[in-house]
Amino acid sequence: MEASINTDGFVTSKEWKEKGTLISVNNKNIFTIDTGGNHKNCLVILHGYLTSSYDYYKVLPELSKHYRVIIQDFIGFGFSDKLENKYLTIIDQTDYLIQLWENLELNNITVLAHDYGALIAKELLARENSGITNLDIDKVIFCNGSMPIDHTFFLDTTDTKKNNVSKNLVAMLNSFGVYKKTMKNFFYDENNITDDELKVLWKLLEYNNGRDIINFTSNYIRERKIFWNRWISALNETDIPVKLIWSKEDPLAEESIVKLITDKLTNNKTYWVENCGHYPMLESPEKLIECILSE
Amino acid sequence: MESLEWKNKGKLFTVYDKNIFVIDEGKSNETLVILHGYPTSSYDYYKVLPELSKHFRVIIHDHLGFGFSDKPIEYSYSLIEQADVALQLWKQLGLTKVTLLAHDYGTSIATEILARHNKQQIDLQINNLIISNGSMHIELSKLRIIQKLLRNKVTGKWVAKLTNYPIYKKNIRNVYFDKSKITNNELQEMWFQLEHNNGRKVIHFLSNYINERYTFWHRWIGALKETKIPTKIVWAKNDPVAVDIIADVLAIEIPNNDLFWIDNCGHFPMLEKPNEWVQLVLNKKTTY
Repeated sequence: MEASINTDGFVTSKEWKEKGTLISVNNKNIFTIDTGGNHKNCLVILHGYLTSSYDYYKVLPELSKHYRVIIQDFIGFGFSDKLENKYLTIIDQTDYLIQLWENLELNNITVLAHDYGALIAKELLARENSGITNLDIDKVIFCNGSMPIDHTFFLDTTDTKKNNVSKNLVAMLNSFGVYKKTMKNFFYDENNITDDELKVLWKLLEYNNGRDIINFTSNYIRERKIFWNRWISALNETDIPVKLIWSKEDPLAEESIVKLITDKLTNNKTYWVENCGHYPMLESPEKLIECILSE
Repeated sequence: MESLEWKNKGKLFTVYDKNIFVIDEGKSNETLVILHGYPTSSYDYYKVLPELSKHFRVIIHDHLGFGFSDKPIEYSYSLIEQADVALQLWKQLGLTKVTLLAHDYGTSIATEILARHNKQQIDLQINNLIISNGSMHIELSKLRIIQKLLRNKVTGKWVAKLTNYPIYKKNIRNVYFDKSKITNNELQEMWFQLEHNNGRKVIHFLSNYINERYTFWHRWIGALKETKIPTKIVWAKNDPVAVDIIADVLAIEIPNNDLFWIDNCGHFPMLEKPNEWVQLVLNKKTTY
């Protein structure tokens, strides 16, 4: 195993903030990076849970040579507006996202969705399939997004799963030390994330109120159950080409999820990233770029 | 009225590849769309339809999983999807301006529609909103034991299997103020419609909506607080589930509303006090 991480390109959170602007959508400020340029195709990146657009700082320069890249911090994350003690659901996030796309007049969209962002991508597909929206999506790329393999219809009324997740998160967010240790566990090689990077991630987390974020979590865990059939059908019915890029050693989004997704799809292709954990954009950036760009 | 007679009044429409049973009566230029409650069907409105249809073109459909509509097994039965279905049906019927009336389960579908309406995601113009006995403030409602059991992971499936006509009958009777106001014949027809298309196999899925009322609390209550649509709240005072305090709270939250009470009446005012209910729905006609 060789660490191919180039730390020369390190970007501080302040530098990252300067790359984007705040765009007002339905009275919320959404931090958005839009690399612009004279590209036919847009790449819209939907980031993962608890982190933000910053996850993509290593891959953005190269991707922006090929696409007009849009990355927004979801509401409650990064530099976007806070939650104001409200549950914000995947359904709400999707509403904001669609409105943002309209404001930016995006066409020829490739969606790259990671983790939590994958749920939003599935909701987008559900709306496209039923004609509720008419977005110009050419392709969807799913990257390590977890979802329950087996579906039990019932929400656990004691909410064991939710409570466990919340409990783990409370513990994780208790101090930088614990956060650092937990995050490192999501990597294949814990040396592949530097202390400087972790400090930025922590800072971005602190930018918002951690307690709200935990409430938020419990909600999307519930939604994964409520909409299981809706989102599986969305995959089943879509005629948009789908690509899966999956790192093999992800403790959060297991390999078996790939089979669940690809079994439902008619038009799809899977790319595996070896020796890599939950954050391929940070741990194996070159490989991720190669997979995104390959046809 | 017998179920089959009711069935003959309506038609099946294909919406997203599923059959949806739709009643479409009246010739007025003004359209009233109705979202019925749980676990019943459009049949709840059989007593009030003749009067309503003198003033409105009335559209009532059975939600997916209810009455004479399809009851697929592999389906989310989310209120979000029930909103998708309702909006798509109304689009297929060519409706552009409506008065929206919702009861019970239907009120949450209505709030999802409002959320989309507030964000201008839908073209439908909603001139007026009428809300009747629905536990939108789930935290204030008094759930029946059967509802708690049905929404529970462990007990739901079994309770659904064991639920039979006598249990159903008792539960429906208990939400009436005057239990003599519902006849055995009516109850039998309601049960017939619940059982239709293997409905008992999905009834516990449908019960999941109670959890959604928590999950989407801010979205839906937020939609009510933001709506500019003139709203009428028509509330039966003695509903043991959607208790009167819910109406009081809604009257504070909704910007432009009028609250009307029906005394000595339980959860199904359109069946228990049809004349009074219709008058309240139709009054202040000038505002339409």
